[in-house]
Amino acid sequence: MNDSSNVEPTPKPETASEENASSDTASPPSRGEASRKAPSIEVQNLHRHFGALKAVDGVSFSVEPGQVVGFVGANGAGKTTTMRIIATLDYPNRGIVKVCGIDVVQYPALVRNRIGWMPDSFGTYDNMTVVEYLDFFARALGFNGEERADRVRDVMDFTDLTPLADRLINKLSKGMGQRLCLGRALIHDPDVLILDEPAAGLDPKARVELKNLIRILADDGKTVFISSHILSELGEMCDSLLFINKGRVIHHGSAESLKHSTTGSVLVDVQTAGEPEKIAEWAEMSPHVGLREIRKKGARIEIDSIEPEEIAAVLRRMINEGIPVTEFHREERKLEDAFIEILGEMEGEEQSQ
Amino acid sequence: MPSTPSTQHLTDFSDRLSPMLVKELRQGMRTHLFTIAFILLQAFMVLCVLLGASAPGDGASVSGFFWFFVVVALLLVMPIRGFGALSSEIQLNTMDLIQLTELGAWRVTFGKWAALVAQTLLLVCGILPYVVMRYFFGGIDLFTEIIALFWILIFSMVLTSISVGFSAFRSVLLRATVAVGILLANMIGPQVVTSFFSVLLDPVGSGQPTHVIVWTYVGGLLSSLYLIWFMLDLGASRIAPESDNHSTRKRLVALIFGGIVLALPLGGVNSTPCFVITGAVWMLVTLDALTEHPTLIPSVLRPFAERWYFRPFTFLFAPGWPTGIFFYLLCVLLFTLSLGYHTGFAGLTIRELQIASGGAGVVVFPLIVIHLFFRRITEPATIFGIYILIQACTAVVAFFLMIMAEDTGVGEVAYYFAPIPMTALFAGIANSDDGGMLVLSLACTAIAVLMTIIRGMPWYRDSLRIMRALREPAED
Repeated sequence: MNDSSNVEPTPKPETASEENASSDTASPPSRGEASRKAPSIEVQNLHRHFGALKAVDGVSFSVEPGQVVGFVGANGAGKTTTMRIIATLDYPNRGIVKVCGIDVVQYPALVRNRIGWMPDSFGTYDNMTVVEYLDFFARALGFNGEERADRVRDVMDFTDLTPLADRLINKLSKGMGQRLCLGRALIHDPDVLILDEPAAGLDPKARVELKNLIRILADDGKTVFISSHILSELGEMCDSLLFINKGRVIHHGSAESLKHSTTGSVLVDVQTAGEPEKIAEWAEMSPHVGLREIRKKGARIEIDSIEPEEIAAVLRRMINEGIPVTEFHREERKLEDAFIEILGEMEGEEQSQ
Repeated sequence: MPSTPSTQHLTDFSDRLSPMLVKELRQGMRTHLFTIAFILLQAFMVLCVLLGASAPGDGASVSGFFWFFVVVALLLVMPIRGFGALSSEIQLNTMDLIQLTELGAWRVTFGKWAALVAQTLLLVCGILPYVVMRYFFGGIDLFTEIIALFWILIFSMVLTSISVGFSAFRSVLLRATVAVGILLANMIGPQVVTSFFSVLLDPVGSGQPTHVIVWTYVGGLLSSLYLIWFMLDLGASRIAPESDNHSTRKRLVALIFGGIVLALPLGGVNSTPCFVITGAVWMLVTLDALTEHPTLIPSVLRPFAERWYFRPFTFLFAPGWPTGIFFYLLCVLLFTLSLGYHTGFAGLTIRELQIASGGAGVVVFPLIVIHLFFRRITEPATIFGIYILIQACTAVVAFFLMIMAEDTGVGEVAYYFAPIPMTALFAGIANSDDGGMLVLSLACTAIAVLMTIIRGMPWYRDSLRIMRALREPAED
């Protein structure tokens, strides 16, 4: 009889509620005091369970103002759940989440003023034009009169939707729809943008357009927290990447650091005007250099150092020893490879435990 | 910056209107259903007037024809459109987006309803000229027809609020059940009104004293307004985030409404409809309270924790079924006391007690089934759906039982099913006067109440702990 499955509230009583209750203050923080020196997003020991399923299992990270952070993970890794909690659309079972220093559970309305949310599914309305759609959300956000018209006009200009203003939404292409969705998320000029899979299903041109818009927003000082499966694009636009797997953060660092191997060696693609086999012979004779692969017009070699001076010395030696080098290019690790590698390391650790 | 043609019209519409109303009207006026209904209704109205005019002095002969189309348009087509109101937002994944705006769940639901009612008003405006023409060419009583149209409009508003409120529920079965209910209401409603509330349709011809007419009108309008508000709030509470507390307001308003209606007999209004209306309203509110998801979110509990004199009310007005059961007991107590006051406690018959206890038991009976067999289900909409289905099943069983008992004369058949309070209620309505059935019905009610309280124990314990934690910083 005492089974509390039906009573189980969200969040669980002994966890989030008490944490938030004890961290509670009598009055909500003002905009100035909340955001002073506070990270744009702060997540501490976040847990979210759906019955036996641990969707988010102790996630902690923070995002500083003005950063663009990519949130990467496989399907079901806990990305959307984490983002929904940050966006005040779901509640944690345990842990504290703050946006610009404001607790999302305690003061959801204040947090909503600060965030722009773009879900993975683009919600459209039938029988409604682009301008009416934006006007509706501007009204719903409390903008009236000329100010509302200005906001609508500004986001239409920014997202390049002005020529499509009177087009019915269900006649828009996927790319146009995503731009409209981004415009809606920007209509109240939020400090933090949370974008869940914004590039999913877009053609290459639309992806580039979206990437450019996000970069402009970042340059404008907005914090962008973005999830995507397309790591190469995230790498280009993000200041740092956050990898999540099985509800846990497994890596948080810059894209640049991920592109470089962690094994203490670098791979170099060498192109030659002569016979590629000569590179192979040279590599066998040279210390700290190994041959990885012979290619049509060159070879791929591995240098046992990541120091730029050492790498330059190898190139110098090759030229001095008569190899007609036409190209010498240090290979970067693909982000997908980095992700898989980190995932593999984590699973290896789990198995050894 | 000069306005471009596309954005110029954005500021010419009143900012005082609800954003949801503006959006819904923009969309609604473009739908084919409204346009077709409007044109068809106009065509039928013209036909009716022409038929009435072709038989001078005998316009009443086509009245049935005329009112049939009015009823179909206003009481069937328009309310049915409400079923897609909130569910469409859920299906289109736009509810999250709306939740992040300043539009609360109530404003969303109200806007949806208001837009449908605005379209209904447009239809009524389209009908009015034909009513006047029927007066000139058909010889009908204009005053009576306008009053009838007024009450049809009110009834349409109520039915629309029901469909909009239930559109928040995902269960197609539940919505289909409500749609059937609306259909039945269309068939039974006019008979009920003409039989029991004829004063509403024909105040002059009823021969009632003025104050009774006034109070009946007040009661009728108040009940309609309350029902509209309740149904819309029911929908709003189901789409609202968990941090929104709709329960306290809903329960308090129900108590105030019940208090006012139960006081109407003191002004000379017939007490039976007052008790029926209050009983129905309190049953609806407790039904909602008993199927609500319990929450322990600090921002919801904070108002109760802030003042020492508010704390005891947590167990009556905080959201969730663990408090719903105490609210239910309070309603039963207040209803019984009022019944005793108006009829005199000594004057209560076994039959009246049987109806009252059956009515009280009907509300909590499904909880036994839910707590025994559906403990793992936590989704409030599903629990609500199960509750309604159990009620529908017990109503069908009780109904057939009564038919059987009447045909065979075997009252004892009813005894086998007496623990189902619906049986006791139906038996009481069917003039049964049985003390044994009363006791069985009361026992069943007590078991349901106790079972719910026991299952709510973890919530009571945790809510007290959280409220203590909420108080501590302030007290320190």
